[in-house]
Amino acid sequence: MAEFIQALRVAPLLQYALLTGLLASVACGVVGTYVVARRITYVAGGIAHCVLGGMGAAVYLRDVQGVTWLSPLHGATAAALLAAGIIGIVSLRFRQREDTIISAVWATGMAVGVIFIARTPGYQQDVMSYLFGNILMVSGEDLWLIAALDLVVVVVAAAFYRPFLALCFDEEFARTRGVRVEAFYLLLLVLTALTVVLLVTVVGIVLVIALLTLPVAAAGQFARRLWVMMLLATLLSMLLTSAGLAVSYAPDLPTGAVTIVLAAAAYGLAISAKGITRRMRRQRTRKAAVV
Amino acid sequence: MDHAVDISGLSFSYDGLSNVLHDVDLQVTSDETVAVVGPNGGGKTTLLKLLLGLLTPDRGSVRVLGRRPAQVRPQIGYVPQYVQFDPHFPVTAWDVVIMGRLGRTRGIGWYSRADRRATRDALDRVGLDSAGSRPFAALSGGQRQRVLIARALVTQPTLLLLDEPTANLDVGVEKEFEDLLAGIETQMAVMIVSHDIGFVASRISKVVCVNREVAVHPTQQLSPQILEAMYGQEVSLVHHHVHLDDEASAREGAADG
Repeated sequence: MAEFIQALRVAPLLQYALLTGLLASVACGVVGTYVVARRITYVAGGIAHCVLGGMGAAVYLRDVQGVTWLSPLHGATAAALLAAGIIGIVSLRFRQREDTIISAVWATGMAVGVIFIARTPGYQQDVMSYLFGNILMVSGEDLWLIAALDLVVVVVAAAFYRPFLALCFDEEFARTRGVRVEAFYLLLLVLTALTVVLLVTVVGIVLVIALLTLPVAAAGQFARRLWVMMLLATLLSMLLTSAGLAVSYAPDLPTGAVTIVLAAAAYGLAISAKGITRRMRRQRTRKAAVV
Repeated sequence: MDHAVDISGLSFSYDGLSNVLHDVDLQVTSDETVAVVGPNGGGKTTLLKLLLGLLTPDRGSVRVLGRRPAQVRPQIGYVPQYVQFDPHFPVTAWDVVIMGRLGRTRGIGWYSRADRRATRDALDRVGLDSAGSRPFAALSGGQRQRVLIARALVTQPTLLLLDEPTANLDVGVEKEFEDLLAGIETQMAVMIVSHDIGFVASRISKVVCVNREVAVHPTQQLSPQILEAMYGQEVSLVHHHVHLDDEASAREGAADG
């Protein structure tokens, strides 16, 4: 740990990585709570895997076609938004089964990514960092884009907290109150897409769903209200991404994977703590009844 | 006379082939309480959804408070038969009730002071003023039903639609609900969907019988013969709730379509 703190003082890449984790945690806590409450984790998974298509296309266009200003993060953002749009519009307008559309988007996105990467000389090795994340690859430029995405996500999610809560809790009732349910569902998918892009930089495509849901699920064990769940999930997520970076630094372990293992442990602890408090409360009630 | 509900020549089908409701005419005045009865699948809930603007008629017109339903949604209070919700969803009774203010308050940001005051009043009105901070999932069936009624009342409705309000209630709680309803129904037009004819007959002046087509009867004219024709089976009409001890026998007698 001392080694990590020392390195953090002098290495800008490590500072960027820490900041990226903290920024992504805010979107993760806020939007992840909506995703878990609305039960659209599988949608987030589909969007996340489709992102490989965008990243692959971006590196191909940059390195083979000479579009020098493009970065993988630009491609990821475009692909995530496209995937969210396709899943939302096809399921709402064309009345198709959502799980089928998600599977199609999921697999097609990955296939497109693999094809583009295969046609880009020298980039095959980077597939691993896209899939499992490499937070130390975040540049100063990327950090600005991440901060901008974070700001958009959090402002929109907070401004429309009330209709989003109604949409997640009781969609039919929301409709009777004049909430434009379809529009807000699409907006939620867009927010999910942007959050996925943020998290891909931290833990990679494959592990996104875990970071989007595990801190929220752990927070959900103790929260009675949705905004409390968001707050707890954000704080926990910040702790986990920072701890992931710190723990993985000295032994040179993959940061994304370590973060997810820590998140799973935190979820397990939260469930156990909830179980213990429930049992203690029951025993107290039983004792009071006897007295 | 002002009509809270004015339906004429309404037909509706889900698949475009067989009508769930056919050539329906119905008027409800702004101070009237009516019951909507009929067998399962007869079109009762569909009728409510058309009044809420959640469905669009194939033929005919639906006017609520003189306008199209979608234009007056904030003035319609709606209590669904049940809310399918995740028991782990982090929401308190207060959160559920204040949700009813959507459509009555500003579009973005937090709820206003007026919204919070209306929520306090609505919880007070249903006798749950001290239960606002409790998780919705931790409430009993009767308390949840009261919260849903408070959510409908917080919008200060001109028309209140209740879909099977007693379907999930225990016998004792059903009596409490009846008392609660008595305090509400003088202040607005109320339509109560129920297949429990014994419950609705004890307090409603007009009964709307729905089984694809609609027939309206004053309660005193509602006879077993009319009900048998609608339900297609033998039905006994029993007034209940006078004494809770009589409840079981009364329920046996009431139609269960």
